[in-house]
Amino acid sequence: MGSILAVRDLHVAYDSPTAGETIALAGVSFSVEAGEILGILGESGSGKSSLAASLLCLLPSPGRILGGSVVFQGKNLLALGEEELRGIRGACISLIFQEPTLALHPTLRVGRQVEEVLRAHGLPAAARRQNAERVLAALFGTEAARISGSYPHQLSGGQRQRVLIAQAIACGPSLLIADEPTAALDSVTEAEILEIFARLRRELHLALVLITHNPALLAGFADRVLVLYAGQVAEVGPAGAVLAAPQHPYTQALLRCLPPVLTRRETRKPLLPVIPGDAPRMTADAVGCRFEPRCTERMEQCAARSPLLTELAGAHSVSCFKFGG
Amino acid sequence: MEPLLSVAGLVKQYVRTGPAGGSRGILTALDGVTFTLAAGRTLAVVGRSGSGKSTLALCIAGLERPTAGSILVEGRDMASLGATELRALRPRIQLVFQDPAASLNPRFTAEQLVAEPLQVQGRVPARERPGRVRLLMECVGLSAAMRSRTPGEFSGGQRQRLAIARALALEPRVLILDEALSALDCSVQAQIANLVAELQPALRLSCLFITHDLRMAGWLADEIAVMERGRIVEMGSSEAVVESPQHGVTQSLVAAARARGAAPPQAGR
Amino acid sequence: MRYLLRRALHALLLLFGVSLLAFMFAAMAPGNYLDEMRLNPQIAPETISALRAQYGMDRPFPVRYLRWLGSVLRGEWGFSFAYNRPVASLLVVRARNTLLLAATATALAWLLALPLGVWSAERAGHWPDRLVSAGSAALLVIPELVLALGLLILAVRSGWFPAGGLESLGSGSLSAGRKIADLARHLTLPVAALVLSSIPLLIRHVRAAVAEVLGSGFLWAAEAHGISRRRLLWRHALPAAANPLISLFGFSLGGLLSGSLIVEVVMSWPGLGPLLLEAILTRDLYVVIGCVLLSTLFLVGGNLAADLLLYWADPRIRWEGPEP
Repeated sequence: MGSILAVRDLHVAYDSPTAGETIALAGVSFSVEAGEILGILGESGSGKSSLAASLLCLLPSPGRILGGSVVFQGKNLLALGEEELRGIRGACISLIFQEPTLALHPTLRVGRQVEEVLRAHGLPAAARRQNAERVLAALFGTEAARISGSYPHQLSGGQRQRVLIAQAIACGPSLLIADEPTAALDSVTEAEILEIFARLRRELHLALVLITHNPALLAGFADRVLVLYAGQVAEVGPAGAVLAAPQHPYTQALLRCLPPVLTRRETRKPLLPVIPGDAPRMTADAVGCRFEPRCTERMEQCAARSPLLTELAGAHSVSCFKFGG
Repeated sequence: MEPLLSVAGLVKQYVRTGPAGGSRGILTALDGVTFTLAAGRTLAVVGRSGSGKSTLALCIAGLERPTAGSILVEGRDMASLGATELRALRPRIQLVFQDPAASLNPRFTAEQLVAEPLQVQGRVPARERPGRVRLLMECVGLSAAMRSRTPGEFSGGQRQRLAIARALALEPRVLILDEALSALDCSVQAQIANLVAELQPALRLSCLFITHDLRMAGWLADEIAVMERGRIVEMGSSEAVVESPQHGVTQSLVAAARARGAAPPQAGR
Repeated sequence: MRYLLRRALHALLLLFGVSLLAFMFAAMAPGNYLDEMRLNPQIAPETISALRAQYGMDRPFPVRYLRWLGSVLRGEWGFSFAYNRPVASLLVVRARNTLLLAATATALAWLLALPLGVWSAERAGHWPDRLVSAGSAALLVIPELVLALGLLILAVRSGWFPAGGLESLGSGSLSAGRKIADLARHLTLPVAALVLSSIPLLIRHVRAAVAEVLGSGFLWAAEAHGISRRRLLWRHALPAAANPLISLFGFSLGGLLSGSLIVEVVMSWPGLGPLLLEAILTRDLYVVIGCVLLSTLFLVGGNLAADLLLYWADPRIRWEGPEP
């Protein structure tokens, strides 16, 4: 089972007339294995949404891909023409958005919107209807017919998110990219959506890249976790290792911020541990480790240059001078 | 001790209107909600989306008129008060929303935003206002150097701090946080949660924490009320609700928190 | 259904109010057709007072109004002094001509404005957009009157198009096909004047509506699904941008009878324009009121049509169930 997507040294920047150039991604590399769930953990400003958009060459306007490659099935997507990309989007790699309310057309019936995706990839009319029905039935069961005839505003947030998933899997892609797919949902609906992703992976052998700010979402769900900080990979490895025994000072601090689950009042500390300061805005001339200003374990060399990703054990890599760098 | 806030049999119905403006039936958002909140305590109202918890926040803040039931603040019934008394009472309850960007005028500076409620209220003389603004900003962890920035120049967490400073300007007794942490990063959630936890005893502030995140509710609140279809279906101390949930909704909320909350790693050191 | 009834009732009330106001203003205006007649020494004063009595001009205002209302209900819409026949029969012919002109122009303007607007929204900031917006800005500052006169001069100088009227002399003897061709030749200039004067605004509205939608998440999502740019624009963006355009379309329907008056007068199109102008000059009271009422009728009808279209096009307006 080889990797189906390989991202190498991806650089993305945003040009702003007032603030100059902001670096969103600075040399991000990773790969996705067939059928695995890769969790990308990053807070706002980490570049996680730019990453999701870059994978399909869909960066919004002031954003530019400065360099690197995204290789899918032997082809570098960043070098493909618009028409070739169109054939891959939605058919081989699908994207699921964080705001299901915004990602659906407001005046088209849901069934029709699923059919639109199938139409874009050349299915004849009869097959479109049949396939859309099949996909909606897989996600909504006996309710599928009613949902198919509804408009987005008639559905709940969780139902809308399931429609987005239906659109994403309609053409049988081998990779799903989900950018904060549950951010707009309550915690119970969130659990339901995650269960659907797990089922899709089991039944269709889909690979999933789940991008989120919430470490709690990935625990017990992702196979591997990649921690993104200020446009760079801070730590990547098996989910168990990264979440239970994090090595990078940022990952450690981030995971400590979560309120402990349901401990008794007497035993808990008065305040939650926090990471001092704010996430940095990166410019092209930044030097040193991105986390250095907020790090409690900083050393002399941290401000001088950026550490390299170093493998510790069992495919668990960290970019911190504590481990060589 | 007399409760600071006492809500009894609160009902809020919306008349649904069709495109013609005719009525199309009635939507009951709150269906007999009763609870009390003592001074300096925190009550978390937890529920799934559409359970009525945000409507509850709006009614208590006086932004929606309840259809039936009573809301007593410091023993006085909000419905029976005249316009002047109501205006005097309203600052006692302040609301902070999920999206601070939407509730802060993007053209105002931080200083103007915090000073605005002071001006409107008019209790603080003009010459004392700059000092008060500085104090309030300090209180929520914003440095004085930031006072001339506009909301767009702040990060999400800083904007939420600003919204809290603005709410505190009127020296409220009750602070309602309506999903105020939900849109924030985890590390920022922790900062804001700490801020609330620190401010509370200092200001003898009561807190109504409205959320779908049972985990944060359990950490921040003394008591938890679980809402479903406009009713409180379960209420008790945070420990009791979380350790032995009785109602189905509570159980699924706890399950959701537990399933995704596998032992918080304290590794490293 | 109840919605429609309510709207119809509103419309009826509005029409009633407008007719009353039009009637009052006309009554308050100094002089009337008979006063003008009195200046003519060849008409005996007795004849004039006989006419006054016949038309009920000697009665008090409410009586005159009620009598006129009665004649509206009978389908006569009052009586024209100048033409000596019921106003309705005059209006029908003239309104038909006006409608022919205005409907052709409106349809053409929309057919041109939609692709131009969408095109320039998609190329926002690039040269096609700049070209379209510069062209429409230029057209926008030229008054309709100047535009019509300019075209008229062109017609007279070049002789390519007839300089006025609706049909050539002796067109009655032509075959059906030749008749239509003749009509089209006569239509060209006034239609061109109307299209040129209305299109800049339409293009701008279409561009604005589509440009707003182009930035929305569902189009981005659709692009991520591999839907082609072309389909994205026409089948996804345009329907989503339709609401303000539908309202605008209703507005242009409402203006069908009143929007082309100036052009009609300048180009001698035998529509309502010249009739109204003449009636105002000769104080032909009931013709003026009839024209006003007819335009109001169209305005109300256009808005109603827009509402119905909106209702049909946007499920969110149709939706009557609970919010999820």
